[in-house]
Amino acid sequence: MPIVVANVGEIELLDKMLKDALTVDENYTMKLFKNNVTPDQSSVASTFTETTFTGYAAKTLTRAGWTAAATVSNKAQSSYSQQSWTCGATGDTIYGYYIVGATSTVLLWSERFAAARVLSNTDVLNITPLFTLNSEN
Amino acid sequence: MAIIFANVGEVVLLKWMLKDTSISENLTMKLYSNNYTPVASSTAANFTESSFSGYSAKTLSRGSWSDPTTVSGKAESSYASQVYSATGSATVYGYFIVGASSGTLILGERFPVTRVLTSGDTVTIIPKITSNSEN
Repeated sequence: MPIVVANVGEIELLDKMLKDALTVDENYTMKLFKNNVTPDQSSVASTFTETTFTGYAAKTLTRAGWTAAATVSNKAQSSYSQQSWTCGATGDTIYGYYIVGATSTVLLWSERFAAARVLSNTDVLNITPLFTLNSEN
Repeated sequence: MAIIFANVGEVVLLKWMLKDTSISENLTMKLYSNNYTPVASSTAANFTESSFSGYSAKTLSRGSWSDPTTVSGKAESSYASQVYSATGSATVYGYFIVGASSGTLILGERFPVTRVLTSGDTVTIIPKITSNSEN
């Protein structure tokens, strides 16, 4: 499934792009969701139910940790190092991930996996965050 | 004509959006006098800045953009109208916006109709940028 940037996330991101004094800007938090929902632009953070499998913890994505943006196929692209979760004794079914502002908790973007991941003890889930920006015209 | 974000400008904006941790630069809005239609691969060097009597580039400071709001499903932020007054004659094909210190082209837009100015004429532009999910 494709990444969807929520309306509330578009506002946050445009604010960061044009207006915010970035010295006080927040990091990002990446979370996995366990409810069977397909994100759309009207989604908000409460649309998602965060997973609680054994060993799970949300991941902090620092601003400085993103790669320097570069043009790939006419789109600006920036990525982050792979994030990895290892499931403990109690597993869960994971439908996708969502990213919120670390302090604002505003939903920025989310993605449902092409197929739900059923995690059990010792299973590992890896995600490499990637974000692109492109001119509409 | 439509606003075109240059590839080099997209890189700057994505960096501001996701990565930078210090105060980013302001933007500078300029008019151009060459018969040119911006494309994704455009750079600042593709534009010839106007030099008519009375002209000066406009600074768009970060703190002065409006707070973004959702309009028709897109986040939208605008800036106060910018007025260029001619005290001589000129032909203006459009405008372009660059980083105020880097000089990197962010975007350009050709006017639907070329503006032929004579003394006393004005060109008014209201900068507006929208952001929307591709999916």
